[in-house]
Amino acid sequence: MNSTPSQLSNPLKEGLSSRPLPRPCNVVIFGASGDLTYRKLIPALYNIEADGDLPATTHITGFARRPKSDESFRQELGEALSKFSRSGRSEEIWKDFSSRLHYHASEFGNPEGYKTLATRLDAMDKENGTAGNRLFYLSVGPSEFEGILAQLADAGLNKAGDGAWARVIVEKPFGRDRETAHALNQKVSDVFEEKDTYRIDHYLGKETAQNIMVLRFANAIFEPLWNHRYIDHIQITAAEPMGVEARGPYYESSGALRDMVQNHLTQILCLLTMEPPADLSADSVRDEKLKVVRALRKMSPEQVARNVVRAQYAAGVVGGNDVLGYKSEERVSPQSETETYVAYRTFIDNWRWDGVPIYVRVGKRMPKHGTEIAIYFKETPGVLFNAQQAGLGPNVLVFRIQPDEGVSLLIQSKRPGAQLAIEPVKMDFHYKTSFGKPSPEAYERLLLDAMSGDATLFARRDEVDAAWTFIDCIEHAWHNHPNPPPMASYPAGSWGPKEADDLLAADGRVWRRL
Amino acid sequence: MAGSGVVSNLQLGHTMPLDETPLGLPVDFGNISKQLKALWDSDTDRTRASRLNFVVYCQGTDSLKANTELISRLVRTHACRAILIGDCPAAQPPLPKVSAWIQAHCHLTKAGAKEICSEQITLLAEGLSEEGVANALMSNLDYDLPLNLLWQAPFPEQPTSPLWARVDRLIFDSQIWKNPSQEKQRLDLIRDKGNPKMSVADINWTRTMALRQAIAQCFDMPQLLAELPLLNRLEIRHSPDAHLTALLLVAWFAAQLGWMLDQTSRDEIRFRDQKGDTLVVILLPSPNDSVSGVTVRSPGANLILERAQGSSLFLATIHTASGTSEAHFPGGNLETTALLCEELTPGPRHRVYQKAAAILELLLP
Repeated sequence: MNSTPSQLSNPLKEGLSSRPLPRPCNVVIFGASGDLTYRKLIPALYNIEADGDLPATTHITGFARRPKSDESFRQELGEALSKFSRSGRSEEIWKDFSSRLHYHASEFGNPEGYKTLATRLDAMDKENGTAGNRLFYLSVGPSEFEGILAQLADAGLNKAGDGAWARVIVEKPFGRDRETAHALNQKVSDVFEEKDTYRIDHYLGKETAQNIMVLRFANAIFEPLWNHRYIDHIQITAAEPMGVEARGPYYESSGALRDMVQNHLTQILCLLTMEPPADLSADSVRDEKLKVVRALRKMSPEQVARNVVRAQYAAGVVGGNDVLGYKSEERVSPQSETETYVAYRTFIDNWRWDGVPIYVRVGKRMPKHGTEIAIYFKETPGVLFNAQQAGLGPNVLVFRIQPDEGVSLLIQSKRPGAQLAIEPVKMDFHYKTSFGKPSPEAYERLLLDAMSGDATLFARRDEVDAAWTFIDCIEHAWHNHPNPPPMASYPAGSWGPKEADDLLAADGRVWRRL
Repeated sequence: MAGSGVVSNLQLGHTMPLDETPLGLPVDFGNISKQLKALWDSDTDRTRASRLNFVVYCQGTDSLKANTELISRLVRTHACRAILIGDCPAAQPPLPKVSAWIQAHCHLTKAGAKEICSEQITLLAEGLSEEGVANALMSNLDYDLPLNLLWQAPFPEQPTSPLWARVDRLIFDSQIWKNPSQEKQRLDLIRDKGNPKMSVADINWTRTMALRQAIAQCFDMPQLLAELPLLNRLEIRHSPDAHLTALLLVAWFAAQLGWMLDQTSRDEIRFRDQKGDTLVVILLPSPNDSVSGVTVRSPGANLILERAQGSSLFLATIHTASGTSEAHFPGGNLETTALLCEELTPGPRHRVYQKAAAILELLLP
């Protein structure tokens, strides 16, 4: 059988990269006048280009409502790039890259806009040899998904030609509960096959998040200890000093649990606790992650009251500045029942993690910015050194997801001197110090993966579904139960409410200090 | 020992020797570890980082200063214990001797952060045997960390030194080989007898990487990809000192496309492609650095890839039946530090290099 050109492989590419290289394609960004495009997506694509990984004939088309010419679009993006690109802006690279940026003005619901888009993409395919490969990025609110997807289908843009592909990247939130997520996923799957659907979670593009698997499965010393026999408990913290800023209306409909836990933190938890996958293919990894989400212990309303703390920040001081309480923020209801902080204790009901509590806390208006995972190992038996010196403390392995990405291990060591005194010391690995080279932005990795057809770092439909099942139990207890647990309060600039401390104190533990 | 007073003279964001000599602070060879320890004990504003041993072997003293500068740039991205050795086997001191110097190269990763430092030990070996040199080096390695050896001299006739067995990665630059056939044979001997597990990295191969990437990307275009089995002429423009670099590029084409060598002379090589058709490769002189341009021809397409003098990009001009188009590609950084950084980064290039190196051997005069 004869191969068409697009089906031929290119033997000259062998060994040029340690990852699958993307094939030339047309990228279309819906919502191209939005913040994400200017701050993240275009800088990410530019940096992929600067690193030499973007195929030279890949073109990027912004699709949005506002009338704009290609030239003015390029001008705006160029200015944004100077501010937001991690590698700055080289005029030589920008000149070439910007010539491949285009703007397509249309209402999202206007069929004519999609027909002209299809004509334009076909012409670019012909001119640039992109062979009909298309990547659609829906950088819009979920309310726009259905309309855009339907129009893409009507214009035939969801169907790839022979040997080509058409993929869609969907931004969170993937629904606001299991039912809406199911409906949303259904709409997407009516138009794009699951293998062509990439649900983006930028946390998974971060270097340390990817390093979790490497650390666990490329080092022989950790995996034998990675279970209930040696691990006492796990703490996951995602703290940020910012309030809701201009996102009041979005946050009011979301809250900390939906905004952070359902997606980012659950994905991280899965990488941390899953079984070793059979191989590194996207589905093998995602199969194992799915098993973890399914094994998360579902809570009754009474269990939610005992295991989950929700809270809102009150007025306080952050970074030396007085800040408002949540209910006084712009475009937030003074009667709001939306949580800006959540802390909970959960368990994974499987063989490996039986009885190991996992404590998760996430909050806004915390004293500092930081996301990390801390694995607390069980203490040594109470004999020998542990008998002589009470409270030696456990070994703690910490993954710092952001900022200052890295890993540290707390170990006990003898203090120099004739007396026997034992003190904890920290072995610390910092990405910046050890590798010098700056880590790429999460969006760079994820866009490159989507163009290369590697879905490992993207959430699969059944994962999203299972995560909502866990979250819905908590949301139900808060909002649909006749006797909901109270909303606690914490001053802005503190580490959260007393109730969250009590949650750990009841188990004889304390939250880690960041 | 110069002590903390000297260390504190280090300027932030710069790499400086610890005293006035370009090689650093002179120390007794037997006291290197102690002196290094004293150096770090005396300063809490800086932190030592090391994730590999990087040994530079050169002969004589002429390139010690230039290599120190190379190391000072390299450690910004590859924190290491660097050992620079100038070997003078023919020197005739009353007794064989090793002189030693130490220094630190420090830099800031961001404002307000601690300075990150890598230490450099410089050794001058006079009248030592191969075994003596190996011992001097190995006694100063950072334990447990991999050993990357940059070899800047002709390879020895026989790999008798115990050093070879300890090397994890041997880095060399075939561009400076005076007798390529002989060096290639000796290299094979080192690999076969000295250390079969050692990986080898030719800086000259990395010098062609940006060009190979650009060519490969051009052939992603369907019109060109369809022409790949039909190529009939390849022209490579190179500077006089980059003849071997150009041959490596030819060897890469041949290895990846399954060409069989037919005839070879210095500037023209003939291959048979997989269908048995003749394919001509012409090597052309160019005043520009290294390999500055490639033209690939087939009956239905021409690809011309050129790096303009001083530009950081390659310009590709593609002529096909449907018209002419242009594209820019990163031109790569040909500076030695950048090439070395690339060599010290793990990657999959080894297998393709081995295939190309096997063909290169056939092309060598």
